[in-house]
Amino acid sequence: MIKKVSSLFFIIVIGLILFAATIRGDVGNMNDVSQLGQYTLPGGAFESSHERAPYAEMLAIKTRGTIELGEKLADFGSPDIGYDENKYYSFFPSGIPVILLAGHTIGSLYNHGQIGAYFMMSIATIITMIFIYLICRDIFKLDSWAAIAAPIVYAFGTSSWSYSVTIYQHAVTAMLAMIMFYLTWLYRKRGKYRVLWASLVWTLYGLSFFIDYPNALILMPNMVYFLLSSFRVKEYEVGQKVTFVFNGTIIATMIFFVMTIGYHGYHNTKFFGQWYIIANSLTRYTKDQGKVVEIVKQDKTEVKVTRSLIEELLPSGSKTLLFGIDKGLFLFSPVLIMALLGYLSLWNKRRTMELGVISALPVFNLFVYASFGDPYGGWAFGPRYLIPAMASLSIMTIIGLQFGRLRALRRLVFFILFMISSGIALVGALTSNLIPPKVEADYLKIDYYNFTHNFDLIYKNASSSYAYNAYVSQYMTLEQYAVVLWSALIAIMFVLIFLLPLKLRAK
Amino acid sequence: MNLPLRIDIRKINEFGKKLDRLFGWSQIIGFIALVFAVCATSYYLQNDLIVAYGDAESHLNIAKRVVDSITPGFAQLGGIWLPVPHILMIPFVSVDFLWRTGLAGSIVSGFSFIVSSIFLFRLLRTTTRSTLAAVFGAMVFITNPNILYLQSTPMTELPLLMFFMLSTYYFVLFLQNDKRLLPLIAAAFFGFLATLSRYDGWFLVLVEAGVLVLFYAPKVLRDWRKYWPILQGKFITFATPAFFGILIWFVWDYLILGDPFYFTNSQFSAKTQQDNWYLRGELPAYHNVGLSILYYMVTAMSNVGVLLFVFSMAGCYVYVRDKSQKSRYLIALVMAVPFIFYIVTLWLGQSVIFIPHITPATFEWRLFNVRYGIMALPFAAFFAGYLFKMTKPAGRGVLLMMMGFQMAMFIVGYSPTITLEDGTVGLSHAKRPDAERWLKKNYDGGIVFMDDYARTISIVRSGIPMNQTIYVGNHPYWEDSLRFPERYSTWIVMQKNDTIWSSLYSNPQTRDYLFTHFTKTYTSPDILIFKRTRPLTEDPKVIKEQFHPKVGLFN
Repeated sequence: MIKKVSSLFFIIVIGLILFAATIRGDVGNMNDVSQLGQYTLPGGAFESSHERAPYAEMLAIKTRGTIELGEKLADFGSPDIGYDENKYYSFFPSGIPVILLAGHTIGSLYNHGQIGAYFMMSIATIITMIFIYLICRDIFKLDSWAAIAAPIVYAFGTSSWSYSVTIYQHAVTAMLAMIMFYLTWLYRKRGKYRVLWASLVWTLYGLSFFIDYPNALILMPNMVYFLLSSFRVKEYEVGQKVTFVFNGTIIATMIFFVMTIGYHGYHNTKFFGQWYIIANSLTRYTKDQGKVVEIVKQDKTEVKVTRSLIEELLPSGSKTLLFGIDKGLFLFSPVLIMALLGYLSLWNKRRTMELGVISALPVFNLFVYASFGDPYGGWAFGPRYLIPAMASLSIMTIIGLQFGRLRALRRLVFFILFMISSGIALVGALTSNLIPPKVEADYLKIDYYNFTHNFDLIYKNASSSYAYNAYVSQYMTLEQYAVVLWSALIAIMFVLIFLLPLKLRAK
Repeated sequence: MNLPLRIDIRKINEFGKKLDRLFGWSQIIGFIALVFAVCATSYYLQNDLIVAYGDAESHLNIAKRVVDSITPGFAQLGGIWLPVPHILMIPFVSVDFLWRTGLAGSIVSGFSFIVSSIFLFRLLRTTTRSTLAAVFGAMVFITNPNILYLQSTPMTELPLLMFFMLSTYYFVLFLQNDKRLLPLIAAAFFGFLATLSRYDGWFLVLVEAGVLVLFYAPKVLRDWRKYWPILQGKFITFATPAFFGILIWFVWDYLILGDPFYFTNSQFSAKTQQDNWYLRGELPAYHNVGLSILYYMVTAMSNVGVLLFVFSMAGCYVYVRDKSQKSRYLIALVMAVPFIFYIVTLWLGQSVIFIPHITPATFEWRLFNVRYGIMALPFAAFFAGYLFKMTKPAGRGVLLMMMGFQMAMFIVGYSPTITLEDGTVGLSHAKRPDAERWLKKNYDGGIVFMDDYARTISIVRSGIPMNQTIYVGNHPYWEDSLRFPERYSTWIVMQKNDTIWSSLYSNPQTRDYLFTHFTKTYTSPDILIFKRTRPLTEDPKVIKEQFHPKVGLFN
């Protein structure tokens, strides 16, 4: 137990330090949008409408008590803004602004409202790290060193880092995926808190719709796991009598899901007219040189999912998200290639339902977004849509280090790949997420479309990090700062995968 | 909170056996397939989609011309498309209603679908010794929307699938117990029918013959004296009937068309069409192994359904690793014949597939021949069924859920019924020109002279009786009409650059000649319809002479 607590403490400390060192933004509460123009440039806290629109909604909730933005906030959040009957709404569900609100309120007490809001995303990732640790330790029975390494791979060895220091919904989705997986496992164990775990799983699934609409599909493997965990098969004698025991808890606790979904329907009815109309089916509102332009007029009552996800996009989308030169998962986070090795190692050793679910999560994640018209996620650093998948893949990656043959060689290869991956992740976190997809870069005659641009920004000292800009820039260049952080990170990983196992073996 | 459901397996087994005794599981599967087939065909009939493919009507017409044409007879079967599917349609196309609606083909394809379902079920039950797994595999096959569409059409894929399943089933029976000769003979017989259904069948019997050699090879190496004669005997027993179909086709093409390789050398062959694509730079898989594999895998995946395809691949992996399965590699190889065949033909440039998933956006067409992927469905259903057998109850639950989820994906339109799309918006679709409607309204009898190969208008839709048409297969009326169109025809339908247009309309002299006998009654940018100015003589003697050219006008 002490070991577990100290490991968790270590993970939290590492998370807090590295996220604090890279969090984006500036001093101030940033309540007045008319003052925020300077932060909308590349590298600024509001470089993307993905940050502006939820932040605008958060301000609307805080200052006006409604999610309706008003023209000023709408202009700030544009073009990820929809309007309906002269009212403006963020295209994104309201979950993230509500989370931001908590951080902003606390941060405002110290004149760091924006930093406080953004740090909520870092906290989401730290919670994800904690649950990755617990999953590794309790479910997959990994050694401490491996269980600590897995969350570090996720948080700092993948491009999820860039999205944990600014406002994107993916960090929260990853958090929900890991929590739900762990809670379902607890539920499956049939302890005395079974009803509580089941209630939480349903509630979190319902709440996930407030975070991002595709979560309904992305988290499906967890729900299948949840459903299957409600069945028990007892075979008294081989080929004689079988008892299927269906645990009614899953039905009884569904009320929490119904309540959250019911509230979602009420929310939609109140603001958009019908329970099934969601924000991003509204007409897009954008402002171009001070003039309002309607880009896409669409029938808001049309069910979008059947139009947005198309099977024929699957091959090209998969290629883009996994191997694309502009967004490829294995290009930005090559360490995750080793997840396959981990999967094979465990498949041969221990075939469990948990292994199936943890493997299905990234597959579903890829499946949904590869079928999406824009797999690139717009201008983004790496495959941002695959961040929930990265959490599962990090676990599989580390599993590959503990099981299977040639472990020393595996660890060496892992370490090299982690050095590369964390380096790439770090330059993204320290600079900008505004990287165009190649197709757009070619069209706009921009000469960059992947992380090489972020390295250029590092050399140009173009930092987005609050800590660096406010406190460190007077002592060292951004390049030096990056090297310091990176060195610390790989030193930790070196100790974790090379020294701690030796110590364990010696014991 | 627990809701226990106690199930006595013995009772289930007894119930299963009772069902088996009462009806037989094969019959139950056949009945389910029949219900699905009738429902699907009724739906597509109501929506006028049975003859959506251009090829669908051609198949119907080939069969029709054998019994009802100016020059009826088996020579109308031609030398490109293999004859068995058309021969099977002959009894049904004789009824005009069945021919015009396409139901003549639906009956053949539907019957093939039911037989295929039954034998897929039997194959799975034989291999897995699990009725439940066999039912699951059969249901994967039966509920697939792409096969449900194709089984309602006169296309030739279903008859081939039936013979493929029958031949494979008996071949696997033989591999499981090589002491019995009857399964080998049955496999060869159905292989023979497969070779006369589609060219895929040629590859099937080739692979089966190869598998036979591989099956005996270890024994022959172990004991040459004993097993070499056995191998020889079994090989000859199999190969003689199985390859006889191929030989028949060569002889047929030689006797009827003067070239044993007419099916590949002719201007109407698939090879010639593929050459045209090549010249346009739109034959992407040609001499490219990676793209050949990719094109067929994606096409197969799209036909089967993404999720089920992935699970069937997993099933295949589990199967070949299952050491308890006798001859598992050889059986897997036979099941994979469609994959190998299409990958090889794509590589050779003998076939072409355009599928929007991977076809470049710059191509003129991005949807063509995707129905080839349906041949992978028995493979997918077989290995999905096998995976079902090998998993625990939870895994079976997942498989059932995935099957339901895949159905949902087809229903909401995430996964399109791609074979239907090809027939409606792809390059395979039959054109519906305005000229067709015009002719249907204005046709008042008389012979119509048209180039059916160019598919200018649909004969079944325009209401023209088949024995009132002259097309390229009506010798010597076709050739004669190209020079003297007024001799037999009351109507001429020509399309820009088709053979009739080139012979009669492009050249000013022949055009003048045409206009002395015919009046242009319909004009569109691509299609012209002419009607004879003066009616043909009604003197029966002259008509007889006209239709017996050797004693009449030709002399």
